[in-house]
Amino acid sequence: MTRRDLFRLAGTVALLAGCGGGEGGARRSASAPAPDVGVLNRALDLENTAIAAYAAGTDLMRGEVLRLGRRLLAQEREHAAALRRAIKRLGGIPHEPKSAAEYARSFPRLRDQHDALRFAVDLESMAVRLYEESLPKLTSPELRRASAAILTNEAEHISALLGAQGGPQAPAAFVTGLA
Amino acid sequence: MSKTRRELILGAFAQAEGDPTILRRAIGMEQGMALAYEAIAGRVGAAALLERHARAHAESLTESLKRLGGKPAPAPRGAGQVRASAAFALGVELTAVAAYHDALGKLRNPALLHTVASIMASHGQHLVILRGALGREPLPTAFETGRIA
Repeated sequence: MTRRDLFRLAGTVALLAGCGGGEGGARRSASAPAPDVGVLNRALDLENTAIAAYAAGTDLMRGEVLRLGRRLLAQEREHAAALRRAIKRLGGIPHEPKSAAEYARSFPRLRDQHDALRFAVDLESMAVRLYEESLPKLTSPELRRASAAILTNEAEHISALLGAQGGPQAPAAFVTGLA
Repeated sequence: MSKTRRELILGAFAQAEGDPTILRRAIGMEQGMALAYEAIAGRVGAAALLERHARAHAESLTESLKRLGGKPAPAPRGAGQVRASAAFALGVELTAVAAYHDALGKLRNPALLHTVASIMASHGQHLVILRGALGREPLPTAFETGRIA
């Protein structure tokens, strides 16, 4: 995976995060969407991207790393399911994931387990950043808490992934998702 | 960390209203954590890292409080009862995550939300290290709220 690949990925995710489907991502025409729906749909877009990435990345993982990858995939699915439920409760329409082929076109070339782990750290870091930027935009205290619980889990994922690469698991006192 | 100590800290956060009050609670908690980790440094593998991070959190939160025009409470002088074990540290970190989880529903200042979220996430990473040191599942839940399983 090259630096160019990473920049391409960052651009893709930024696009996903910023273009949540019009009308704040709520896709409702009859009435104005609840303001939180757009924020949650942007998070859902990124979770769907992470699910596709782990589904692809686990093909390259082996042994303990594969077990970790499967656990992270399962937890990303839980995040996505929780976001979909929250969006529906607000009267919004959750964004559907893209096809596996569409995601694959936006992903960097992954040749081995090392590439898959690095890619996963980058995606998780983007998720941390997206959730942190979302917090001030969410109007509901309960949704802010729920987002914080997911954000913290994404930070835990980074720790576990760094550990799997033999690196320090908590390299900074402030986890911002920025390199 | 004893159940009573956890209840005291979480009770204080639950009652806190307004950004300056919540910040003062958080600063006191981080300062107390730093003292506790200092007391067990050299006996628990991660203690030095945890102490360094707790001090950085306390300093950052103090700067935030000053920017809001608030004044920090006097720093705690002693660590209270501590046990030199990763299990003790895990309890401390779970309490911190739970406290910030509560606070993030109440804080209003956008910059403060960023700072506190980045600190809560840092404590989440500490949980992974400590669970690993204890031979426990490092990622037991998809939603990290600091709740004790």
